[in-house]
Amino acid sequence: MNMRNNVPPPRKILIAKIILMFLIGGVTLYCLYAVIGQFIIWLMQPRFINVVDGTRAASMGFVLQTLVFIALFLILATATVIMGIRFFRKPKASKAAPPDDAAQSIDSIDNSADGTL
Amino acid sequence: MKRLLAIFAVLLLAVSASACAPQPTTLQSRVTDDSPAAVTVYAYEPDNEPTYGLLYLGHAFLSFENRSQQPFAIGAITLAPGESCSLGTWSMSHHFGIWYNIESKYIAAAGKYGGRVSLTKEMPLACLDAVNAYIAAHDKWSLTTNCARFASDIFNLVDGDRIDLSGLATPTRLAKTIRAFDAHEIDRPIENYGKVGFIDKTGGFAEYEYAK
Repeated sequence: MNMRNNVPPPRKILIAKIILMFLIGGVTLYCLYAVIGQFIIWLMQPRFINVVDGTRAASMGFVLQTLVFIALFLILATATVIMGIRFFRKPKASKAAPPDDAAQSIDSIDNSADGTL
Repeated sequence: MKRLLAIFAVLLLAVSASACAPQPTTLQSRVTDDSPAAVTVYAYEPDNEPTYGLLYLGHAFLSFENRSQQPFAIGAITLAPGESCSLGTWSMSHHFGIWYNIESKYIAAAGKYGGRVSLTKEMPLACLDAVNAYIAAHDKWSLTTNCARFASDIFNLVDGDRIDLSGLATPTRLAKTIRAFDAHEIDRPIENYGKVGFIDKTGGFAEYEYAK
């Protein structure tokens, strides 16, 4: 069975990688937007301070959401960077001799053999 | 024949539309000059408030007004004649449960909860024991026993009109239920409120002050 027909062409793979990175990068930026926005809300919110010890009461709903978004941002940002490195780095050069050099080696052996005879 | 069918179709649509359109519920237990107390349930939907992608479902709370000549207690607060207080459950860092007068302070000092809808009914003093017992037993907050559930349950404990809020209670659903009443208000103020705080584990009142 010819397996080559099931392999997508390189260009389609590249487009799929770009789309995937774009999507994950978009979600990453959304998480960052939510974190920054929560910081803005925190700055602008009215505050209630304990009259005895001066501690500030904070609504935990937004705090918990912010922590989740920070975690998501860190995970997705790391994944984006790793994918970018793996998808778009240049492949390393192969250590095996190229076919043309091998053929030339065989010809040189034949020629030398003819020469000695 | 076609004209008759068209007229019939229009009449049928009109009847259907009038039957489906919700009719406002008439509030029966309105506050009068003789009412000893009043209880108000509020619901706030954050339609115009920036949330930056975070989930914010709004807030629901209550207020009580002493219209009698004698003081009476609402939870940890004693209301003198003419005094009011607000009551709501919060997921605050220092206390997951009932906080007193946070909402009234937010409204008066910071202009928060603009667009809030509310419904007020009279409260017979005979209902105080049931209300205070509920407050004592439900000084907590969770996703299911949230501010909307707390506010609607207490409102329904008081004799008179009831709010139908079965299932998961949210401020948005509560607001919709409130709007179904003809006597609902928008941006009703809360005046003459007292200290802000909650009942701590020692049974004392942990007081907080507003700082912008």
